[in-house]
Amino acid sequence: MVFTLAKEASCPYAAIPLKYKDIFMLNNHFYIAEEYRLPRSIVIVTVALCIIPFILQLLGIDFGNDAQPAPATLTTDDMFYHLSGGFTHALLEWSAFTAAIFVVLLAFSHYSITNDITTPIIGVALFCAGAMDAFHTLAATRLITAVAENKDLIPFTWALSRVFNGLIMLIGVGIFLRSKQVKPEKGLTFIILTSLAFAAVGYLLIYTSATSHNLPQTQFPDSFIRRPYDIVPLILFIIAGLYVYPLFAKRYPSIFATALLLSALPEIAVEAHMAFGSQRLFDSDFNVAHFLKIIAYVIPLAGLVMDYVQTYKVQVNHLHQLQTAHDKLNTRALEINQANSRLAQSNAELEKFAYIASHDLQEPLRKIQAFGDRLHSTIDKSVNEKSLDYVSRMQNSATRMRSLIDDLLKFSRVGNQEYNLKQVSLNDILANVIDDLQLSISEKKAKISFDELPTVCGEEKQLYQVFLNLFSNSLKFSKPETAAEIQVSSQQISVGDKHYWQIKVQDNGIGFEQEYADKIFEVFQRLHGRSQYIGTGIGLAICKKIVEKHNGSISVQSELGIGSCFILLLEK
Amino acid sequence: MLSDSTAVTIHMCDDDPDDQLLVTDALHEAKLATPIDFTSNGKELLQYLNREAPYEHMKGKPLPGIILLDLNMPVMDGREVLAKIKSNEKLKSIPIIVLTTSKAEEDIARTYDMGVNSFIIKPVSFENLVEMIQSVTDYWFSLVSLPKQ
Repeated sequence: MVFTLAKEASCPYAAIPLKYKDIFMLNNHFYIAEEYRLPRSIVIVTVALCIIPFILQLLGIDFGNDAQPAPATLTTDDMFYHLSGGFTHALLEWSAFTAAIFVVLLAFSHYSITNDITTPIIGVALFCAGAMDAFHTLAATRLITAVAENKDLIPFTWALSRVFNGLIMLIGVGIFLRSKQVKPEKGLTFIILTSLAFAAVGYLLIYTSATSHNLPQTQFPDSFIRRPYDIVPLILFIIAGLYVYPLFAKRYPSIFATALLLSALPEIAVEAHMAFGSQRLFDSDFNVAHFLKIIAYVIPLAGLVMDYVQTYKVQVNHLHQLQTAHDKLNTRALEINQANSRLAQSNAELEKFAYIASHDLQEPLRKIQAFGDRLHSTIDKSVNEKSLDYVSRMQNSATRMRSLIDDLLKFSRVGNQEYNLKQVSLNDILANVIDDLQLSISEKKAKISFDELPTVCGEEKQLYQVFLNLFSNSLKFSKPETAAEIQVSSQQISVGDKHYWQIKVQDNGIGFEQEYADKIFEVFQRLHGRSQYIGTGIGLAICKKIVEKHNGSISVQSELGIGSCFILLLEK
Repeated sequence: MLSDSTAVTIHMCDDDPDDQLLVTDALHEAKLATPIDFTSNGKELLQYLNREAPYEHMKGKPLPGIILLDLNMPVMDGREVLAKIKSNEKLKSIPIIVLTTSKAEEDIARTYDMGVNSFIIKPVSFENLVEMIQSVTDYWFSLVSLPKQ
């Protein structure tokens, strides 16, 4: 559903220039997108209400109140009957004013949700117009007195409020047709300032009317144009309805804008009835006009309510979509969790299997080795040299198998054990490793040096194993004629928001091609034959497994003939 | 020093016939004349030691000088029979040497707790087995004084 809130609609637009051709491009001009249209019933009813009273009047129905002069003696009831016009007028006007109050209240609550400043501004304009009407009504009901005479005051204040209504609506809407956009943050300030401006003008007019001694005549019952002052708002509303409102509805499409456009129709009808129809107070056209004025307020109110409902529905829809998406995410998260626990279980089973398999394989292997020994010692070399040779080879294989199984067991045990992570001193660990490798170190005349090493978060025995393996390798793979040198250095680095110690173990051994940098960490992968260097190829795989269990990483930089540098990342 | 070392027998309780064979061979290889007999599980061992059926024919004969005990056996395993022997007034004084493939720290600790005299992991090569038998017999029969049975 593509519903753009009015806020989104007020994206920076280039100024739509006032061109005559815009007015005459009727199709384009009055086109309103579907989501901003008013229900057809409302449009039809409005048009009907504008036309029907006129037709009914032609058919002879009179909506006016009695204009007979009052008899000499009046009962209270008589008085009320004679004042019926005034009462009708007051009721009609006050209904219009009430509708205007509702509009402005709803406009502000609409603003609080959508931050769209068009609605409150126009709402305030409507309210000011309504306030003018209220003033006029209070004058008409003699609830307030002014300096001038009432027979002039009432029609003058009517004319005034109509002209004011037309102007303020044009100004209120016209504000938004300028090219400059008002930033939403400054919206509230703008609304307050504009409202104050409208109110000030309104008050000024009221004040002037109330304090002027002579007010111009506004009723000319015998002319064709009975109330010439109503021609001004008539023209203003025609301009509004034909040009300003449609332009506004294009720029800031919303149901409210469409309703505003539609409200031009009853406004024009009001003016037509007053300008050309009403000859005196409370006659048929007078009452019809006042009734239509209510309609003119109610329609924008209805538009605003529908906008409100629309906005609310959209929010609810969004909420539902969010809820659905959230639920889907939850389900997905649950699935992932389940998959994870299945994986973890599977891993545990694999490790257990590796452990059990290696363990159970040891038993028959032991027998093979034991009986191999027996066989070896019972075969006489001089008699059966070939058989002895076969047996020897068989025994070698058995020995090899034993180392593989031992190493596999060691490897699988790395995963099984409980890790007690605490701060451990690498200095101490390295000291232990060097101690235990003393024999090999002195054999190879090796030199091991390291700077002050940090304490890291880890498991002591496991880290000992890592460095034992690394140092053993460096010693094993040292250059034949050169004394082995191992240097260990450390450095702090940060990856994202995690802090690590980077430990480098550099040797000057035989090195290897960098392309094998990943391969050597694999289980039982070696770069040399058994005859060249002993070992099963499990040492680095164990290192990698341990380091990864520490949430760290291990990698290597090496050059054939130069040496290797193992780089470990361990958590601080 | 035992006056009559040849009368003392070694008894081995192990379900694996290969291991029984190897130990027998090792004794020969070490040129030891010590007699050795076998049972295959804890239940049989108890029957043997108590001279119950099917070992009634052993009645009257002295109990073995030492027992080599395997841990992992069917019917009744080494740990169970060890506990039973060490709680039996008549039998508890016989030195027991656990001879097993299990390297588990747990087993070592627990069997010592139960009063085992020694814990040996079965040697891998035959040579080592011979050495072990030599050491055991030297220690327990020549060096050490055994209680009278």
